[in-house]
Amino acid sequence: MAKDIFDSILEKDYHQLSQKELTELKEICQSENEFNVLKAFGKDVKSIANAPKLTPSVATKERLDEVFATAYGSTKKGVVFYRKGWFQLAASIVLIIGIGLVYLYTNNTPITPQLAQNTITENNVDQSNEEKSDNQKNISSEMEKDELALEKQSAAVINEKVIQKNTTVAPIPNQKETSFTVIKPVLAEKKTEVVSEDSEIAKTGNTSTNSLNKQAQEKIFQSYSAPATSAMDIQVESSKRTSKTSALTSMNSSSQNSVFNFLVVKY
Amino acid sequence: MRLFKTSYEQYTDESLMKKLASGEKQAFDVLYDRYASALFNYFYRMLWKDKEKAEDFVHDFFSKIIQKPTSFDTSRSFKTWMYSVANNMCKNEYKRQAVRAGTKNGLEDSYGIASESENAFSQTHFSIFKNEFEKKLNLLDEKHREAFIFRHIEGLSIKEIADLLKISEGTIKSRIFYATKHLAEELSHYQQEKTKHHG
Repeated sequence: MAKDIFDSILEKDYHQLSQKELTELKEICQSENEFNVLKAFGKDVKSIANAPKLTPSVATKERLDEVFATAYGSTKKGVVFYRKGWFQLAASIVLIIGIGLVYLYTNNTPITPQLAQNTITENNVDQSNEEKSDNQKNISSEMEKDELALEKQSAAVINEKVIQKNTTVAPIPNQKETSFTVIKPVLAEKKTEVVSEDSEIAKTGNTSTNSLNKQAQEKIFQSYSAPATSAMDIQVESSKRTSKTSALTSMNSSSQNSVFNFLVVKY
Repeated sequence: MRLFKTSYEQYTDESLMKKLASGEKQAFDVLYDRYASALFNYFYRMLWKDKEKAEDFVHDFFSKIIQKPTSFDTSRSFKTWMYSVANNMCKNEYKRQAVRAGTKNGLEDSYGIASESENAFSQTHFSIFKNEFEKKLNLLDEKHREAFIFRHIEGLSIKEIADLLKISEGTIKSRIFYATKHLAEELSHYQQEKTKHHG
């Protein structure tokens, strides 16, 4: 309730009143004495107002209940089931248990292993493909190096033999055939070896280099373990090796002899 | 649709009246608990301190609410409306009594006062004052008495009184001023005795 002039009378002394309040009170009091009489009266009236109040009898309420029952009957006495205390309590418990179960279930379920494996497999595939391509590059570069080394070696041997030819006597006529008879099986054996290696490669799917240079071959065997790209590649490689070997067979006997000796030393 | 039930004690008077109109017994019970006592005291004070009459008036008021809840305009304050109805009930009773006894406002001059006055001096100062106050209050004319009671006893604001009596606030204030000044002057000797006693 908003305070008015009557509250001011009870709460304030005469000298505490504002000009506005004094003007308002002018109608009922013009002096401090009159104000004090009003104040004392107001306090007593307030005491009466705050005194314990009388209450109507229980019979009055009972009569009113009868009137209510007559007017509305008992239809409205029932409360809808979902507003009844026991139902609300039961529903709350069920709800809490339900939320708890859902929480537990969602927290304890591991991530499906299939998903994890799939991820790893994909990574591995990517990785193996990369390794494969890297290996192929390494193989081709190593092969090129080997070929260059072989060509240089062959050129050096030829040059050496040419120098020897110019400085030494002519070879024995039969020696040529003998040399061939000796070298051919070796070369054939080499070729067979290469072919057998290639066939082995084709079977196992692994790639390896076959070189006349054993050092290079060992090096390649150590470093190359990537799968073969195709059987055709192996055949081409073997044919290259064979043609180079054939080139060696077409040398003169002294050169052949020297090459043979060189190969014997090497192998 | 509200799932969880709100306690009826938390509802406003106006909301309770709406619920009562839809037949909710608990709404009626809460309203009764809130205002039955205040209403009983109002009727008791306004109707010559007649307890039985006050009981009957309380019963009649709530019976009206039960049987015709739509008579309450929910846009209004229930408290103001209640006192307005109660005040009209008192006025009607005054008229009935006036017709019967031919006295002013149906109030007999010696009603409930003489017997109390005899024992007044044997009671404490407050009791004496209270009795004298009730007597002087009842001697006030109706318009001043109701304004005074609404303001100082029932604790309504001037605005609320103006609303329920459908009179301007200035007029209400003027009536309260008059009733206050009149009663204070009539009972000033009690204040002087009180001052002497304490002095």
